Amino acid sequence: MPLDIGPEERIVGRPLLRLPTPSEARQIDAVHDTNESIPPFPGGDAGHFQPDFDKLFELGIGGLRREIESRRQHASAEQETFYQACGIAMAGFSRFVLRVADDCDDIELARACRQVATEPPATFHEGVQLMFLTIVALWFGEDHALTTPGRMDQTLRRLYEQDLVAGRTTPEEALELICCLYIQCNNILGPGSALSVLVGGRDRHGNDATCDLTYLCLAARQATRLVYPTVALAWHEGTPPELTDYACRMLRTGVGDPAFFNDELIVSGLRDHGVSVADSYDYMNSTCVEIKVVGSSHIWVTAPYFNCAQLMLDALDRATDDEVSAPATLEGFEQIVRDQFATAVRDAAQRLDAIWEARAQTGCFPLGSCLIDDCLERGLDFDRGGARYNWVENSFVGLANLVDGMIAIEHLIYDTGELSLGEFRQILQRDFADAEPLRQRILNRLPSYGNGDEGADATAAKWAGALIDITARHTVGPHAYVPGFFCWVMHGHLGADTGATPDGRRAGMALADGAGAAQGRERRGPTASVLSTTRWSHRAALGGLVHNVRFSKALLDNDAGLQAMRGVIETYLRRGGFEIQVNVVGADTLRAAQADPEAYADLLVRVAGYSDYFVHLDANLQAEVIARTEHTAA
Amino acid sequence: MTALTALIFDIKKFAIHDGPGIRTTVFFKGCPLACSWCHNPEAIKPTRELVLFEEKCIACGECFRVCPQQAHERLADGTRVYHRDRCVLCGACTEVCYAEALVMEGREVTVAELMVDLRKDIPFYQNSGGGVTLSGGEPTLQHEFALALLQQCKAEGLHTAVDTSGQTPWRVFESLLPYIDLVLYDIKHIDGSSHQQHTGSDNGRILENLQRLGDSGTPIEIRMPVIPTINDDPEEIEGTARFLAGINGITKVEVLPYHKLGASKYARLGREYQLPEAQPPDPATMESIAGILRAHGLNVHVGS
Repeated sequence: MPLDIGPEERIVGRPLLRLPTPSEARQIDAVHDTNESIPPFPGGDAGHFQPDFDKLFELGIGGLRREIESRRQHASAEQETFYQACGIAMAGFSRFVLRVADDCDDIELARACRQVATEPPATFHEGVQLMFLTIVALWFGEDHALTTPGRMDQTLRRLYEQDLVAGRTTPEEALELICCLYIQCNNILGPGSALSVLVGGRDRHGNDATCDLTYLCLAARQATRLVYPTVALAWHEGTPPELTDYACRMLRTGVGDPAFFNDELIVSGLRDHGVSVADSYDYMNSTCVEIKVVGSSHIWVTAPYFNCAQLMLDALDRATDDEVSAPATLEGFEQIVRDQFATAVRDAAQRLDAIWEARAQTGCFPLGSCLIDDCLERGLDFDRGGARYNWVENSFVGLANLVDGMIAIEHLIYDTGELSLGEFRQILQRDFADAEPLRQRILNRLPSYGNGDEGADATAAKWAGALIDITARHTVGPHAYVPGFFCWVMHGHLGADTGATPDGRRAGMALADGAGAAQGRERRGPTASVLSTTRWSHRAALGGLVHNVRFSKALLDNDAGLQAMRGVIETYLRRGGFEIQVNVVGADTLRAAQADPEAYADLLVRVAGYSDYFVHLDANLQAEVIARTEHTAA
Repeated sequence: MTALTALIFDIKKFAIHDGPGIRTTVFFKGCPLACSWCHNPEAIKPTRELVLFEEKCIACGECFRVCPQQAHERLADGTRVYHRDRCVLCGACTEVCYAEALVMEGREVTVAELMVDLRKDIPFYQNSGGGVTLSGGEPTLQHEFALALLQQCKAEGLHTAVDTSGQTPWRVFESLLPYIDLVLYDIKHIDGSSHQQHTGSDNGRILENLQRLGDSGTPIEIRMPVIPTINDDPEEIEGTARFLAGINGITKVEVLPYHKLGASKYARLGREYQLPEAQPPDPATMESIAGILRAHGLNVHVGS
């Protein structure tokens, strides 16, 4: 793998991603030839990888190699092969680091790389350097794409504080190095993906882990303002108020970060899934919001994405196949929907278990196994049960469409009786053609999830609970399945192929983009929306979920607005919300919202002395608000 | 016995400009003033009103069908006209207008019904130091209801604010005060004849009530809308500043620049906007007005 080192780089080792020269192309071809001789990879998830940086920084590459050698002395025959592979992988990792050193023009950089090729990092700079080289080695050397810097305010803390005491570094220099790492993340990852850093939270003893690096990791995000990585905050009641305040002020600038993760909830959820007390504090959002235990887990995420809207339509098809058997009661129809989900979950689990099994038979991940506990202790590969925690996280996309759709079916078919299931199905198949008044009535007159309406929220709680329960009960193989309600960009992709749904959503439109209200259905503001999303327990949903809030910049340009935003965030978290992200938008976004109101239905703006949804304003008002937003920004 | 009701036109959650913290604001319908710049024209009439959002109409034709008064008429060219003079506000059309192009502004609520909504955001009030605000219109116009609502809020430990024009008998304020934590008080003109000209009523009682409110010990936030050429004369502001400096209990004076954001609401209500030519004041004017007030020791905040 050829390297690419720029003249000013302070964190080095990125692979060559431009068009290779002829001699470089020959090197790449050689790699491809080697890959050809390996059996095809069965698929499944090996990325979103969270290595054990703590152990690596403590022992160094050399220390890990010695551990492998020493364990090899007492290994069984099968373990012997495993340790041999691990030894080869670590030797290759070390050689890669030495090669980076050789390619460095900068003497100090070359020295730092030589140090970490064998020894533990002795300085903060060496730590960040080894972190990046590890990411590159795992990502490009063993296909663990999206390996993250992770909880770097904790893993690098000791090195930073030692440097500070010894006068070897300053906060400014540390900030610069973190910025360099972030920039390199952008150099190795193309658009449309995700990479995460999580700061704050608690240490393995349960004490608040906030330190100077927590702020520096956030500040570096603010300073670089690039696509990657996102920097999120693990928030708990012991999070210092000044850190919360810092995070809110950062959000106000429109940088989009940090998202707030509910540390207490996630820690409890992990323990429910058998994670030890000490390990439960040491988790990560693996890219977006899917939770993994750092350094000791083999967890597949978003495996797979389930399309709640389509599964509901499938159930509707099944219920109306033969009018005679159409369920006479709401409970009867609900059972058909639950069965549809259960089948989908069971089929997916069967498929994924088969892939996992095939992987364990045919492949191995020796480098990953060196950096995930307890592979070395057990003498077992990452794919064969070496990791301490093994499970699969799925993700249900479009919960709100399901909930609002069930409300519409309850009302139209089973309460008023004005339509039969079959008639409603036909209306949906025609995409509400000639039924626009009905669609408007569903949208505007029926209760919907996301507005603090007790009835609608109870329906949401019932269905979220059902999906959580179905995930737990309808798995087949050896691995636990853990639910999530998160969509990444899949709400758009899945929605594009999904016909009109009972909630009034037209065919092809995006599905709900979070665990909260569907687009266009949130009418009573961010507080009502928070009440709805937190009406059901998120504790089991380690597969992740997102609650979105959007504010205009002008809403937050004063202290009252800032404090109000903080009030919304803290209330959401204290009510057991899993994750909340605030988008602060400027005039460009407002114009986009004018063009595409449905996509921006939850965008809240300050009108004048009050706030309202931007898309609820008429054209004149919208123009005024845009003019004022631009004015405020100037 | 019929339950006490009020006519309100909105309940706004996440209200963050009507007192401290995150609040829920109840907007009462009906106002004793009729300010030419009013940005909430739907607040003025103490009765229900039909509002038209033409752009939302999906031309389903239901309103023509259900109206017993033929107030909705379909013209030969397919367009529609609403005869406000024929309308008896029966609500038959708004009931079937699912696209919400026809909306009845104003609805009757009881204290118990309102409290269900107001209680929902208690977690937010607690986390942000917020509460409930009565606004309008003029909430004290429906003072029996306002009193019952404020009493209930205080009985449940909620922080209360009342946003008032001050144009109400003192005895009404007096009865409400034990249940009010903060008064948001509008001052539009210090000069009585200007006040009469632009709001339709004299300001004698407004100024007198403010004096008494101050003496009662209730914290007061003053709100001053600034409308160019109408009430931005530095001498008049100086007069206002002198008056306010003599009032107890004023914690803050907020000067609010005029904006035209309410202008489009007039057509929907079948009314004419009185200030089509007016423009918002520039930031320098706002700062100089704030400066005049600050020179009298007032804590001034320029709003937006």
